[in-house]
Amino acid sequence: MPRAEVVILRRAVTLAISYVIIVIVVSAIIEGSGYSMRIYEAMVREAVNAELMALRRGGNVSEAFIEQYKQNLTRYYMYIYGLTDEQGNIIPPYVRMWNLVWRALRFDFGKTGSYSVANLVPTVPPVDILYVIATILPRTIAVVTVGEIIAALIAVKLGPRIAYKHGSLSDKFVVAYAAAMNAVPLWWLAMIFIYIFCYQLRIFPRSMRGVAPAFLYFWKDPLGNFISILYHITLPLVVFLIYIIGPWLYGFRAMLLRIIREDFVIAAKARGLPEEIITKKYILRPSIAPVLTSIILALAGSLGGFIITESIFDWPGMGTLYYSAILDGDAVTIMALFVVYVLVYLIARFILEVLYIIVDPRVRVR
Amino acid sequence: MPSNRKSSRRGPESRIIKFLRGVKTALSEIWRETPGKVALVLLVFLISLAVIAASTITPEFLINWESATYWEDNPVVVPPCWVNKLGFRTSQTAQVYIQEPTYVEIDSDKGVVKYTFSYNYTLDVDTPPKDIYIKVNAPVLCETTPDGNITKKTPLVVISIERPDGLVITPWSLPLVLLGEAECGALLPTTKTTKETFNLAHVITSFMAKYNMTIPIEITGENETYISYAKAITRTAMRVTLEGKYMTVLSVFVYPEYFSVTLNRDTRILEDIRSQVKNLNETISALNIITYYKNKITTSLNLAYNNLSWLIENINLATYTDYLDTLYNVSREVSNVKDLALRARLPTDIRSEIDSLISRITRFIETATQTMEIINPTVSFRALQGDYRINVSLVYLIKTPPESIRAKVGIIIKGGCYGLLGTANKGIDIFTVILYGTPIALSIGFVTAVTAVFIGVFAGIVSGYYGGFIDEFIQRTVDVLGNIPFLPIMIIIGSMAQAMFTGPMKSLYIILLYMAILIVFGWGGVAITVRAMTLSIKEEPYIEAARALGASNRRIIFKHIFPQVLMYATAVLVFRVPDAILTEAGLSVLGIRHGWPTWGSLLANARAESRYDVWWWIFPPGIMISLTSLTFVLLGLAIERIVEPRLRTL
Repeated sequence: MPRAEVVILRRAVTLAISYVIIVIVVSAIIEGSGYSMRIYEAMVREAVNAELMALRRGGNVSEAFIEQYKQNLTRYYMYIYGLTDEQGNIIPPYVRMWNLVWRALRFDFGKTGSYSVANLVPTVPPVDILYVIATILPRTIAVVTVGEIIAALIAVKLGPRIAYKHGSLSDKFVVAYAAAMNAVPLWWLAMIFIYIFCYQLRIFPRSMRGVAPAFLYFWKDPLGNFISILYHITLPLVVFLIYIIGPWLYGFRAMLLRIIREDFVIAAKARGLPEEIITKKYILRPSIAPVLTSIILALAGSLGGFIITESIFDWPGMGTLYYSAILDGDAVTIMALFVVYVLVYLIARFILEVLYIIVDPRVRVR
Repeated sequence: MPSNRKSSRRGPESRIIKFLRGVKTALSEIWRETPGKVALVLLVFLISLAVIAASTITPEFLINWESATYWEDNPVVVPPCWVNKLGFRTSQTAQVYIQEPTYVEIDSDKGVVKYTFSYNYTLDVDTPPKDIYIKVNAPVLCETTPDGNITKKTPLVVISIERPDGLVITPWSLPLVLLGEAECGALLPTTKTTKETFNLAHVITSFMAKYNMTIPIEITGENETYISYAKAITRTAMRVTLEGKYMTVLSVFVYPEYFSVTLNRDTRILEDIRSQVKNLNETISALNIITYYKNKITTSLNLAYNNLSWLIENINLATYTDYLDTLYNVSREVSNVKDLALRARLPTDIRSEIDSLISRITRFIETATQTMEIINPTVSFRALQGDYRINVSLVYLIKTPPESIRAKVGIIIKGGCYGLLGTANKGIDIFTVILYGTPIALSIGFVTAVTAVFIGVFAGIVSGYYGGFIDEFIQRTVDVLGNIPFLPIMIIIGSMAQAMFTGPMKSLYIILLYMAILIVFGWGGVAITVRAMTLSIKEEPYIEAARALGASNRRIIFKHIFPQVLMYATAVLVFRVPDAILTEAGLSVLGIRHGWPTWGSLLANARAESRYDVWWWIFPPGIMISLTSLTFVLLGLAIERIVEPRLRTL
């Protein structure tokens, strides 16, 4: 029977290996497949054509000169966009892929040249990728992470009671509500709320893109910016809460239902203890491990944002960043996002593994 | 019945019966509780929609459903017609194709025959429809001349509209010509009426006659020429309104509700000219020139001055005739001055001043006779409610016409509502897309879920049953897959797929690729649970007994383990069906399109046009997606309850 340290170490090694494999798989998809290369090639073509058109409009130049100019220009832009090395040799996809892997493992992401990515900050390229992520992360935290925390708190508060009154009307309502929210896509709910509150009632703005400066220059005018953030954030946050509260309550209820049938709960009931004590001490406490798991994993997962829903609200968060980077074929930014997200998630999982071993003696012996 | 039971024990037929009985039991189990009932009802509804759609769908629709020409005859972004029952008021949409003439008039003396196709339209709201046009495919008729030659006759298309106010207007008459060869009786290419061929002048004349739109004599005065100017200006005013606000063709559905003509009583320009005349007069008086000319010039200018003064003082009583007469007088006098100035050899700067005065007056006269500045008609139109009769006549010049002909006459009136669910951009019929989206959504969902769960179940059984290296490998793979953020990967591959595939099957390949990725990422969760189940089943004594009896691994897996996890697998499978549907819709909404008419595509269009304000566009597709998901969530809950009776609460 291995000791606790050995178990933890083994888990750490496994998670580290899966991290490396994930980095390789993602690199293969972005670069190995030639996806980002194709987008860059299109960008080079566009840039060259734009300059050539300007040249042609300028006056009569010979076709031979234009051809020569075009070649030079293409070579130049290929180098600028990182498609060729200094000698002008084309860097093949597999080399680019391993370069990306190597950079990701060293956390060396450098700067992005993508306009739509820099636009989200808002600034102009080149801009440090980690700075972009650090700037945009609070916007997603403000909606998604805050939403998850509020939902988790409500679930911790109400979950045990609902589980305790298992079979009652409120319990049935929670199950039905969770089923309904499971069926409705969050982004469609967002559309409906925009229809009602932004177009019919005209309470909130139709695009939330304008919230960016309030986050960026928050300390210049804390009160005004706070109000601006509140004005933009209310609708996304409310929609998000309405959506996730169902699954949270349902999940908690399912976890707690297993405990409720345990003998010690029945014994506590038989002793005539008040409902509050039973739910708090006899139901919630023994199920702390799964409850903690779901909360920590949800918080870790929240950093990725919601790509589709954010794009419906035009909320300049992590999801929108992901999407802009993908559309621009900005391989390094995509990779940086994946790395940040996966790393946080894996670290969260590792912390949980350690917590289990500390909290639960049964796991320790496994 | 004993005999029945006996037969069910052997034979291939009995197996089917056994299976069916099993299904029946399961269904009645599911039916027992409310969620199961709801789920089954919804499922039957969805499947019947899908069957209806799948049996009527055409490849042409799949390819062309987003092209504007496919929906040419539909109004664009209008609500469904049942909103009229809720108190909204929208005009009706008519899309009628007539093949048999309603009546035929033959005048064999003149050799003229007229086949008329009629349609009645009722306008019962205060706004005219959005568009009207007529599409005609007329046949070529043949006639044998006395000398044995065959001449081919093409018709004149005359469209006349009988309006509720008794007016009969003929906005279009289009001669059709035969280009190239055509057989007798063959239909000519489609002729469509447009606003360019619309005879607006005729309609305006009809309005003016019918509604007695004459300009009062107090305004115009009595000069016939000037009255005709005023009339022309009025016609222009009507034309501008009808062309702008009513897109020319909608003139058919309106009448002049209000008509008045006023004369501009503002004297600023007149005073301006007068002061210019006065200045000129003073300048010339101060000059040292021959008195003869000076006197003549001063007289003329004084005359002009007095004329203008008279008009300015009496402007409130003046008529258009007075106005123009004065201006012409002034013009004449000043021209006279110009001649005199030339003869008197006045300095150039003064002569150019006179020239500028003349051109100013001339311009002002032009303004007064051609624009609405001085004579100012106000016309406002209003939708004319009531019954319209639209007659499309094909007029042939033929001595021996056939009794009847077969043609194709389409009368298209785009109203303010359409169909069961309204229309989206380009006139896309939302109901049609919703209907045909059903089989696509269901098959995407089913195929993906079945494949993913199938792979997951077998990976799980193999992993749990064999253990060792295989187990470790499968578990680590699941681990890696589970930690990769799914949606970004899906978006990357989706964007790649749009450039990767070409040709008519592109949409199918893209959707198949989506499904493949969903399967790759989807089997892991099932595998973990099934592995855990297998681990505990493996230790049961009957497995050991089977092994002792010499059963092969394969037999044990298929005969003893698989049936145990089947019910769980079914529940998971049912829960998984919406995943693929939601993912496809989500990607479409993001703008990563595949090109097929799915529910997600409709929402994607709404997003691309940012028309979140159109409820009939964003609600139905989302409701269908949610309803489908709900069906499977409820079905899953019901099945789960059978598997795990502890969960029975709802």
